[in-house]
Amino acid sequence: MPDTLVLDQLRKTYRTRGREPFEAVRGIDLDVAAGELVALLGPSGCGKTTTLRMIAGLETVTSGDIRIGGRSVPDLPPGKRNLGVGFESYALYPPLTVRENLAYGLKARKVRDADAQVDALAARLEMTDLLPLRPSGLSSGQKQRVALARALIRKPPVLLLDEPLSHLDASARQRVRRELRTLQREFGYTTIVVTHDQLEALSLADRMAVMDAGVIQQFGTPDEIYDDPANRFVADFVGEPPMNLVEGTVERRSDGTVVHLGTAGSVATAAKEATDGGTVTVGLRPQDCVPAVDGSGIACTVRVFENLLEYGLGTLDVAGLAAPVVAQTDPGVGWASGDEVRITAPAERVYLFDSTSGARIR
Amino acid sequence: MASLTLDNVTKSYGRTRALSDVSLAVDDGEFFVILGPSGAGKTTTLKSVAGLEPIDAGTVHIGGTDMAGVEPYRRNVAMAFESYALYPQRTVYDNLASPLRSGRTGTYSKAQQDRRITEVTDTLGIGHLLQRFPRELSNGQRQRVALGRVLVRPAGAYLLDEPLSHLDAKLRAAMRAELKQLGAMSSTTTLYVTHDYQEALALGDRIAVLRAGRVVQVGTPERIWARPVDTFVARVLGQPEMLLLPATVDSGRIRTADGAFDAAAPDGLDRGDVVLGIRPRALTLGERETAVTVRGTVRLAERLGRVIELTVHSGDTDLVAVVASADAPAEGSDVTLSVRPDEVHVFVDDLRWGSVAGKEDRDA
Repeated sequence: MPDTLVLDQLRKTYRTRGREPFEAVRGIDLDVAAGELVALLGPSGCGKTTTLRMIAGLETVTSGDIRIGGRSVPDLPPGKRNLGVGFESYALYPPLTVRENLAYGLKARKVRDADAQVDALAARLEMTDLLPLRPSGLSSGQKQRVALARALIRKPPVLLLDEPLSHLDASARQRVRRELRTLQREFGYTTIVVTHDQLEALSLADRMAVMDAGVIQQFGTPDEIYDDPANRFVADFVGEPPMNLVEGTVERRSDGTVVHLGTAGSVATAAKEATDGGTVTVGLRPQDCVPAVDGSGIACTVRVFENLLEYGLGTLDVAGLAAPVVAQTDPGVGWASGDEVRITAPAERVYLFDSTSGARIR
Repeated sequence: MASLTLDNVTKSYGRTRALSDVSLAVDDGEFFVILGPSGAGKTTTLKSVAGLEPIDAGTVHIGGTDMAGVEPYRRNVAMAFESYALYPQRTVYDNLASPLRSGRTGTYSKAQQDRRITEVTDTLGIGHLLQRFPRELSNGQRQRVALGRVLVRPAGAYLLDEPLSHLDAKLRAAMRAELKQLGAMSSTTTLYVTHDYQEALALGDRIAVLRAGRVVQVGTPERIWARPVDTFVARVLGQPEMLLLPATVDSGRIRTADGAFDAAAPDGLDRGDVVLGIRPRALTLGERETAVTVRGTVRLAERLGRVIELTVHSGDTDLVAVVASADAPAEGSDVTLSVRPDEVHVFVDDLRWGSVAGKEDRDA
């Protein structure tokens, strides 16, 4: 049975004599339902791995609490926390083959069809050919699959995975990601995945926590994070190509609010709380930039156009703005350098942020 | 300025064959990309041109001159390696000036050095960093300086080995767009090695796909995308990669064993086993006239920004489709997917025969 996982004001401060204390995790709260898959997403140094290591018991807790299935665990050794841990560094037994490594825990618990279970899981993670090998002969991508398999095969109530797919090549990563998701659904492990890859978090997670500087910046479903970012950091970190973030000036009109970009035109925004005449940071996702009709929208000059066939990417100069704006086009749309184009975006997709604090203006 | 020609270049490391009869002709001024997975022989090809690896057989011509026995620094090419090392104890300016001071490729007065460095730093947008040391630079800035070290020296051709691979995804995309704008690179013959198909599509005038030391296909990005010569090339380009479904042609029908895909067989394709190839973005939701339809159940719906990747279970196979997030069905729901017959590639004995719509003219 999967367990719930609760982090309550969890904090980690590293103190080294002669140095300023370093606050890696600054009092985070997280409530993970039984069977849920939650991704901790953020850049390196944001505290996501420290958080995971505290849950696993590999790192002491400075203050706050961790509860697994309602039971407080910070004082328990790692082995008593009833977790499956898929850390890459997690040692495999070198003298044993991959098959023996995977079957080890099962056989210790006298599971009868241990070998059949190993075979079935290996097939799904595309690693049947690795079973007879010893750990020392594996590449980093292969070790990663073995570590993932070893965590999964115990069907633990709570599963912790640290960058489980980072060493796989692009297409293997996609396939293993789907298989991991399907296995997680089937067996219902409560799962925490640490990743720096926003696409991985968006595609895998039921909910995701975007972290920066030891703080959870936003916790929500992938749809909420992507469509309704809480602040500039989340908006910038999630999405590829990244959201365009440019300076704009607010004009409140009787029929709604628009923002002017440089001297090139304006777009309507659904944000209601912006101050008339104020300077704000305007966020536009490249995927939301669409050609404008009838001379509306923002006038742009195409600096460079990349036809990626699945879609196109235009890097556009906007008069009065220092940095260009990137717009993603549908396949078949072809722009050339120097073309004059006009773009706009749906009002509910024109995000405004406070230029100083980065807070979202709704 | 120089054209580059490789004729039947073969190279082995011990008993491992790294390159087998590699022949490529890169036009003067062309941006030519070598694309392939790791171990395909991409870097070895580049080193053969640069003269850093002796070749076992075949010839390399640069600007029409046979390079046999010509020392690397006499080949008039500038090569950048994947590591892109900078001198840590030297400023950006001195790092950029050192290729000009080496004396191996001509001598430059102080004024000439300054002029070349200014040109390069202006294009790369690093003019304000000249007095900094490498440790004071961000990753992206360091990569630009490293690229600057290659571009600062006039050369007949630039040889670039995965120049963007050490950058994170966002910076990589931004630098890719910048590379394309560099006047120097647009006018100088460039041989560019990558394993990233988007870089190849975005940058290449033409692309050579390499597999296990052999050239599998050479062509424009559009051509290789639309007419991959075999299933390997088909899967090298595109994410999610092309779906490949084993099928049989019989009695005028082309169908998979589970019957999930069943369409009229194109003219000229008689009985036998084939493989069907469908790009996930070619599948659309709902029925369409003149399209082939496949029915199935949504097993996974994964959010990838403004699009959703659907894993649809149909018959015995999982199909992957990419659809707009606005109209994505929920997991567990039954859906119908449509695909245009000309977007269903047909492979016979692993080679592309044509599509379910028929066999195309060679030159069309």
